[in-house]
Amino acid sequence: MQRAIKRLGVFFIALTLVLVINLSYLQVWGQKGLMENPANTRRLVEEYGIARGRIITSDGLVLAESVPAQGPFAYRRQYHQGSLFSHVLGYDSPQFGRTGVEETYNQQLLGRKPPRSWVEEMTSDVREGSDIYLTLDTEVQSAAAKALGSRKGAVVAMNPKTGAVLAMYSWPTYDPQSLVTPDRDADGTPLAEKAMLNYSRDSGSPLLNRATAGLYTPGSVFKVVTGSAGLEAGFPVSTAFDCPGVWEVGGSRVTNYGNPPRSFGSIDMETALTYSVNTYFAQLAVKMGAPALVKCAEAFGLNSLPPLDLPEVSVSRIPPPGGMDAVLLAWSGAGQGEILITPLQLCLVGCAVANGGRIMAPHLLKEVRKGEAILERYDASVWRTPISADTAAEMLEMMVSVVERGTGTEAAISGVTVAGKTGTAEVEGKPPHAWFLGIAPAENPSVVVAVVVENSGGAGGTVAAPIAREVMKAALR
Amino acid sequence: MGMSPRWKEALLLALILPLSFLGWISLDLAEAGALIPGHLVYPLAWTAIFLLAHLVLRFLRPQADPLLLPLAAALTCVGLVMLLRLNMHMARLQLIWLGVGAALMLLLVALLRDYRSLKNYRYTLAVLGLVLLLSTVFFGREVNGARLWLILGPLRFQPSELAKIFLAIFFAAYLAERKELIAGAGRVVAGVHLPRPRDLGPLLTMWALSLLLLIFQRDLGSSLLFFGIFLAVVYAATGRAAFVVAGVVLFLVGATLTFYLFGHVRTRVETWLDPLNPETVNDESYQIAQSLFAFAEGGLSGTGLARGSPNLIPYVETDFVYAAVGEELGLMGAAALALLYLVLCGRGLYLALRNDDDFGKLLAVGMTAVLGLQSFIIMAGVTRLMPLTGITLPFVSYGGSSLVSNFLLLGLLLCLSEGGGRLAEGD
Repeated sequence: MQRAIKRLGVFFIALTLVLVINLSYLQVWGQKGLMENPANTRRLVEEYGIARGRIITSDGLVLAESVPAQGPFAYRRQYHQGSLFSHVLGYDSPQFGRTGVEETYNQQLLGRKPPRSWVEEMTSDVREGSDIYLTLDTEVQSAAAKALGSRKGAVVAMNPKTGAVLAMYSWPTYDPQSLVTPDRDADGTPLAEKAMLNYSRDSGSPLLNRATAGLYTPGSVFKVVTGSAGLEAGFPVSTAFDCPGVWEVGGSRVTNYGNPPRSFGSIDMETALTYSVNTYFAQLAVKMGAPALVKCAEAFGLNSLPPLDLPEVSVSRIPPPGGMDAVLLAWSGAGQGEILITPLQLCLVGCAVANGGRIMAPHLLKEVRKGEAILERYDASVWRTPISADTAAEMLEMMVSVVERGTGTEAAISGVTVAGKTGTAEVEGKPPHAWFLGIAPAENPSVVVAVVVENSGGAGGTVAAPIAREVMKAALR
Repeated sequence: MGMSPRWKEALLLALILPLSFLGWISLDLAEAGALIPGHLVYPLAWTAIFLLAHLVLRFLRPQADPLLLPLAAALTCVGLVMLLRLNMHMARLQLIWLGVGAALMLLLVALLRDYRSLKNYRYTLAVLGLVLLLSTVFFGREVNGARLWLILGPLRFQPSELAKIFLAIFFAAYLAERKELIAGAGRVVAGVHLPRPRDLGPLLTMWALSLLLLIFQRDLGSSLLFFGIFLAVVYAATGRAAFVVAGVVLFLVGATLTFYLFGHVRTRVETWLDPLNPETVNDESYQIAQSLFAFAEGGLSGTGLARGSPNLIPYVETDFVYAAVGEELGLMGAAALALLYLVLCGRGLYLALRNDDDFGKLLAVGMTAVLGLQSFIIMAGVTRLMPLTGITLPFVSYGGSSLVSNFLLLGLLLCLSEGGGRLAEGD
């Protein structure tokens, strides 16, 4: 009997051993597979069990907050400002995931970054996130939304000295609240699901942030880049070219606007920029050569990803020098051809001109706060320096005359020296895009605005310039 | 070691009792960020129960085994802290049941001056056990697909919890009397000592009974447990592996039959084989899948108390409390708990070895088998080592019947632990 009892003991030891080996498998080796199983909602339950931080504009307007919820998750998101800030905010939904700053600053909003000390981790309520303060300004954002109205397009406004984004608006837009609402319709379908379906089917792509992800032919606003490239490559403002209405190049032709195309005679760069003379910048581009143009465009940030703190940012593109023949190069000088840029990138070009040649890294985060304590503050830094201070000053001066007496007079604000550049980008088979790049005040710039109105049919100077004016007014107030 | 059992027990309790206060501090800080003085009543009451039990026990039986009470304290401490985290209301009730259980244990220790007198009541106990078991077939209330509960006014009572002790006592008494008859007779075929057909009677009876349980009460866990206890005691009594092999084969045959005959058994097995099947993962296998996710979430060191989401698992306070331990205390906590049960079983078997009376030995084996098999069956079930069966984790799960029964079991072990002092020589 003693032996049998001892064997029972060995049997119990064996059972425990098997149990612990299996536990080790579940909790260590097999842990990853189980955690990533799509049926495992623990991540979601944990994250939506946290009172996520609020998202607040620089002037203190609460855009998003967490409210206690019914159902499997303790909290859900609530958005307060309708569709005004939607593309920057994004949404935070257990069903559809996250976009916008909700995605970029997820860890901060959940309170996991900056990391807590272990004492804090053990003794404080970890189910409480931190608040995110954005650089956006309610007045500027509202002005942008009001001025753009119901026209497809986008507006970006930045402070060139810091890189802070003051406004970022894209239309068509969506209401993030409609994607997180717990309500259901009469037959029990969740309204959020219906809203998501409608938004994703909508041919106007309301979920797309045109300001950062919309790629457009720049047209004449690109002359700011071509001009700067010329100045950098040794073609001073005084460089004169004979500018007929039509300029023959490589068996094709570059034409000025107007019908018939307007002829300007021999003019310098300032006049050419003021009246947006295509044949001037075509000749300038051909004279300096593709490498110089592309190098300068890339220095402004084309072909690289702007370091904006949003998940959805597109790279603006210019073809490599080897890929450009004379015709393409000539048209590229005037912003046509195969160049595609985002409104954000145009705004960054404007920032270089406005800030003595330096582009500050664009950013939406002002600071991370928990209650009154500031946990993290955004430090302004230079992203790149595409042009010299002299080039920037000369370009800015030329852009002032665009608004004073050229194509951009609609952007003028009384009492303020405004600099700017218009663009009317030709697109195949569709009405042209209207562009405007504005800088104010020219003496000491504090705001740069880029506006695009998609397929507006009108010229940049008449369609986009007034929008930029309203936004600059709001920013200068 | 010259230390008396009294001091050994006191020393061990002195090591274990502060754990409940640590649990309270850790929980309150994690949940509220501050200590809530009102919650101090839980560790205080728990400590008071075990201090009192210690004093009374040492007064009644100064020589009783000094490890059993501290081990029960450690296990109930884990249970109480987990319940405080999972469900305050249940924690309060559990504390009351803990007091009732400890009191009944002491009452048993006080009244049962000599455990050998239990032998005289073996048939009474067997009948009582069977009546308790079968009572649910006729008067039971079906809860969660198993007919396990008797509802007596405001009290809900799970008779199988008590029945397992009664039947284990009966097995021990019956086999202590008959072991030579059963083990000695029979022929040897191909080196295997075959029992005589008529000696297989009790084995077949138990087999039939456990299948009956399985079929009529849909209680896979108890069925397996009863049969396992029986086999353990038979093996200890006869030393014959053939009985165990025959028993296991019989049980597998019976289980296979029920698999084909009964839908609920089939579901259990299917969810065991493929718990993460996308078709069932939010339905039949939801519970076991969530349990596995909980263990994965815990990892090596766990999420920390109140930092996981064990409430996602249905019945986490009772059958699935081990998954909550695995999630919040991690592999270290879950393995430590498994080792605590092993130590308890080891102590039970040590008491069996030390006892010089056959009935005492087999009784200790029976009680140990109840604890060891029950804890293994549910720990293995929630970790998918074997098909899930709904039984409680002794001393840890929420539940009055379970707690009271386990304390009575502990009381029996304490009763038969007195005396001895050195290992009896083997037979």
